[in-house]
Amino acid sequence: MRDPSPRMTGGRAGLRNRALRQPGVLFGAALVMAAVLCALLAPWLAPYPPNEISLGQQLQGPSPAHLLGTDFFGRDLLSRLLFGARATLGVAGLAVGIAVIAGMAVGLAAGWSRGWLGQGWVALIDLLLAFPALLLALLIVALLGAGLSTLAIAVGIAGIPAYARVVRSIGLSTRSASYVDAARAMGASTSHILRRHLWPNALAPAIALATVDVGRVILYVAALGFLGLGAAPPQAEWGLMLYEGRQYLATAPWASMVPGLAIALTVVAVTLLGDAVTDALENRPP
Amino acid sequence: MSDTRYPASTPLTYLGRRLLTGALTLLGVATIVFALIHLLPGDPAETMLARSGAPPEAVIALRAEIGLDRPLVVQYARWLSSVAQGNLGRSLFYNRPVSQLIGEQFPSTLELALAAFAIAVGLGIPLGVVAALRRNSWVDRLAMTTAVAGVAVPVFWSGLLLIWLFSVRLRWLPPAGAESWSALVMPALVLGFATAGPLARLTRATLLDILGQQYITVARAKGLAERDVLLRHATRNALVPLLTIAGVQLGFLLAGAVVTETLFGRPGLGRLLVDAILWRDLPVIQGVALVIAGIYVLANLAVDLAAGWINPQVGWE
Repeated sequence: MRDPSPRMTGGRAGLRNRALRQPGVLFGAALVMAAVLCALLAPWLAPYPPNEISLGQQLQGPSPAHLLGTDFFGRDLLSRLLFGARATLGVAGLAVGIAVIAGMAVGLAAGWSRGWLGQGWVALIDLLLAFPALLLALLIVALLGAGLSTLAIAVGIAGIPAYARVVRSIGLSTRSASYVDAARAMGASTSHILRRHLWPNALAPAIALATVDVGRVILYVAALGFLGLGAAPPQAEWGLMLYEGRQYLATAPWASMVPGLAIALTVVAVTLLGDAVTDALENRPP
Repeated sequence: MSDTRYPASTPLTYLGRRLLTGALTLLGVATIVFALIHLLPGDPAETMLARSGAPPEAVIALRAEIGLDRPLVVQYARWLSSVAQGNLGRSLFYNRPVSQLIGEQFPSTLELALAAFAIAVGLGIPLGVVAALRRNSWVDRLAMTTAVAGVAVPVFWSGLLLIWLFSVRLRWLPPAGAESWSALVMPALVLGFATAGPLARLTRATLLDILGQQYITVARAKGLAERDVLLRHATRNALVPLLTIAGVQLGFLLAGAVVTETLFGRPGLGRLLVDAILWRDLPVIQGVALVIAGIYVLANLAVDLAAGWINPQVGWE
């Protein structure tokens, strides 16, 4: 990833040093990397196919053959956890991407357009912010139908207004900056100014917001999966695995504890990392 | 959301302006709920009957029954006027008025939200204050680690841990339901802890921000006792931002109890909404979404008004 804001932090090394001095950051970074690697390498790391049913081995506790135990269908929980990382983290990543890109587009449009058009954009952003994000995501899933791709779209759309608001304020301040006036005086087109001046300026705050936002998005994705609005069985997805394992809490607590722990640890790691990146970007002491 | 274009000079104009914005926001929220359901691809009547595999005649009949065969503007006007009269339509699944269903479920959600809110405020604000005052000490680190746990641990997992410990192993508390007070303990704890996390982090940040202000330095330079600096200067100025944060969290709790209600098998608005989504009961989805978003808007409005009352400068600027 390109360093989003060399000017704000005094260089790439400055950002890295400041970020690394934060407590818990190494822990967070290591965990995030581990989770991403699990997701990417699931087919090679997983000891069993994630959906392989073996009816003789139902609800077994952790053992050398099944390191994290098995679920109600005798499926290997470690394999399902690795493949689940793909689904959960993939959807969350896609949702954040949608929110950042669409949010920046809406925010720049709102910050750039004048008169009633600009007011209209602002009113729309404010109205969408009047909805709790989870409710907005629920509504969109309700209308598009359950599934992993609609889940990514729904959670992504629900995140748009927050990004749009941040980017709009950058757009407003940039629009009247003297270097934009200078560019215009030299005959630069609107699209050139948007691409070369507004977009780069808006990118740093949008990415800062995204690093803090990822944790929330993972929680939303898992929550909607838990509610049965994400992946359809038998797919391995952390939220859905937790829901399925919940019924055997008394006899096989690991079936729901394992995916729950995976979600919690990933979100803790992402949150620690996001805090550090935000502090570094904003040049704030810890 | 303060608008500086109007030269407002009295609390009354602030009140009036804020109430007007609130009313307009409610109208906008209703419009968005309507637009989402009617403008997105797919025919609501077909969507609703898709599961039962009903014949085309049934779809046409349902369309006529709900008024879907009329122009969109007419549908919108009709819907708005009936909503204004408190009529949210009829549930297709329960075949009962939506407003009646919501009325039945709301007390349970309110009970949970208020209990969780009390826990969140009682835990989150002291944690944030202590962390800010003992900044960078082990107390700060411990408090903020707790807060990150509150932010990051999903309620459906912390809830599961509690159910496993207190219901499965110890058999102290019922795992589900809402019949007795003991059934409220675990959901309120789980939701309260999750809300205390962000509250503690925001409290710490707010207080640190205020403690870095010049008037605090001046107060200290004057030789004021640290206790007076904190109580008379810092706390008073922290009150408005803290109130705003807490109010947003309360609105969020009323709206965000969906997962907790599902996990603990509690009745409530969230449960009603999720069931309606699974059964594609559009009138219920529409009604519950409107009520939840409406509550959220009203909570924010109440907070803004209270903030204006505590610190009149908020509204007079």
